[in-house]
Amino acid sequence: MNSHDFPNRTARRTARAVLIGTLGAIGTVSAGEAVLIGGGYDLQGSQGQIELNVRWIGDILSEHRMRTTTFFTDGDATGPDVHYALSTDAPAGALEPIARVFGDLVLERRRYREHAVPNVVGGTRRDTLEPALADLLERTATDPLLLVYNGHGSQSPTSPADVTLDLWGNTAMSARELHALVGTHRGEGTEPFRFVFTQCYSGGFHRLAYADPDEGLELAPAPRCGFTAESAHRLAEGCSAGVDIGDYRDYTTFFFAALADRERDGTVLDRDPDLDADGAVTLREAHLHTLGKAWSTDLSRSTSEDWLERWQPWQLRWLPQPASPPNNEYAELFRKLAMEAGVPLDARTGRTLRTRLAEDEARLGELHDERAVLREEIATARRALQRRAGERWPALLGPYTGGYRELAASGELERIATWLTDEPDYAELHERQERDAGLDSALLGAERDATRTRKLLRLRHLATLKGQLESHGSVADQASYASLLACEETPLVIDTPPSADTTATLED
Amino acid sequence: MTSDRLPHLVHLILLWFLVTLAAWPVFTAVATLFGLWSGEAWQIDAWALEPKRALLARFLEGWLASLVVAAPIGLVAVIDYLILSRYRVTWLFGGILLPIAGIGVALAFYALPDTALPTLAATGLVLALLYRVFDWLHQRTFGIR
Repeated sequence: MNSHDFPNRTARRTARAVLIGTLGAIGTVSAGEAVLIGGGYDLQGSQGQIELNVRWIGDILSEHRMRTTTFFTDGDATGPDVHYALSTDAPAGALEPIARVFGDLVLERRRYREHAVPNVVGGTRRDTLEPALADLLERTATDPLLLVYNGHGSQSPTSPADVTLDLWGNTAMSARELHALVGTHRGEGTEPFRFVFTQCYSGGFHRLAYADPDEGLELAPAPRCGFTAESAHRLAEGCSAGVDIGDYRDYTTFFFAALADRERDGTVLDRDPDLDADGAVTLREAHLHTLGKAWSTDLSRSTSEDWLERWQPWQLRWLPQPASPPNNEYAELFRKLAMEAGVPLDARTGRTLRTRLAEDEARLGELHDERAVLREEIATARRALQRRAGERWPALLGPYTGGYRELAASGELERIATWLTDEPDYAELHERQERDAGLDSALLGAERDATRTRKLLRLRHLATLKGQLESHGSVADQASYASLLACEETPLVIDTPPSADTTATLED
Repeated sequence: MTSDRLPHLVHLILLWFLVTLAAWPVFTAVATLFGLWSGEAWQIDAWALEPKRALLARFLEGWLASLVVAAPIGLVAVIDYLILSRYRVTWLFGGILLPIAGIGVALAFYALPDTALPTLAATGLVLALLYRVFDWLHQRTFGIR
């Protein structure tokens, strides 16, 4: 995008914000309703990143004057419900050498606290969330509703409809159960029900848009559509305990940055997500922005893309794809990303991408092998140090015992930590553990590289699918796809027209 | 029906079954080979990213759905056999109608035939090869054509 586009873009957005603000203030425009569900399934599964994501999304929804109902972990119950990791810059604790040799370095740097999400109306335990959600769905049955989930999810070995949201207290709700809940309470609505699921295996929740949660292409009678970080079969990126938002590359970060028109750290977006330059970023534009921007391990998808993949008829599905996909928004995005990645656009592009993917996966394999060897060496070094320390301080081998308590009370643990650091093989263990942490980062980078190549292949596939729908799809098929696109191409806030009374007031 | 005609009829029925049932697996195998060569085919990514049971379900769904096309292709094989197997010279071209039928399917059923034509023509060639192998085995076993 040219730099001179920015003033126009800002002016369009400002005018729109003023209009929504003014009309909203005199009560003529419904700014829309959202439900935000977040947090882990228990304390150890409730990472600081999820909390920060939920707070950030809440802020964006609030800026857009959306009425938001938030459910988070245990609600406002007393006691810690979020864990976070100390910054890597934070000085090591006095007992860190003991943790390196005897304990868990990740846990050593982990801290716990109560969440700081504002305006939480309740927790996400299934038994409390379900009735509250039913009431909310019932109350908003004739209004547009946006559901955003930020937490964990589990896979189903049988059906995408059985993937679950992992809720507080180790409870769960499957896509099938949510489908029934939405169908019961919003079944006859005409206003769109939109959703954003960013957890692992979230793709199963696209079945919410279909009439049958298990199979088939028939869409639900009421308009429903959404966006998921991944398919029903893959883990999603994210869920780090780190609180450095510069490290976040999950779907939430890019998707809501597009809707907020700013990066998470407040800086200006380097590309305009408003593809049609109409002054409003739709959810689909935010999704396409994410596909273009994210360097992550997510192969994100929208309901219309899920539908296209399911629609592809048997006689087309198994054919090799054409060397030149038809020209549409997916092909355009592919070309842009391919050029950024240095992939030549020619008749051999498919083969080039496969070669690159094979190289990415070979690199991943090498890193996995290297880490396995390194972890074996770490385990050996730890055992040797544990044995020597155990001979000198036998109580060390029995944590949570009286002997260990006496050791801790006498301040002996600090002396043991110093003794460990002076041992000749401790420095080597320390270096290996740091190398192991570095390998984790390298592995994540290699996975992201492989996913970027997979994403390029997927964009070409989607471009072909969209072309096939145009050439082979029935009128009914094309209408179904168009209705999903219409639902996805709505902005974050769906304006409802001013009532007749208010129009008269404005004219006066 | 005379006794020497019965094995002949059985041979024709078996040929029809063979080509009808093999058409879809051969089509998917050929398409996958072409996909591996070009680098792009749905099944290559599905193999890595989706459960194998989903891939199998798609394969079986295609097999069942393709029978409406595969059964007439089986009949083409039978007609080909009846026309070309009578003389040694014509039998050199036995099976030629199958790749032609593949091309016909591409032209008749695909809005953009060029994407399907190479795969379907090659599928016809492989089916023709199968048909010749079947005939050779039948001759060796029963000594009749």
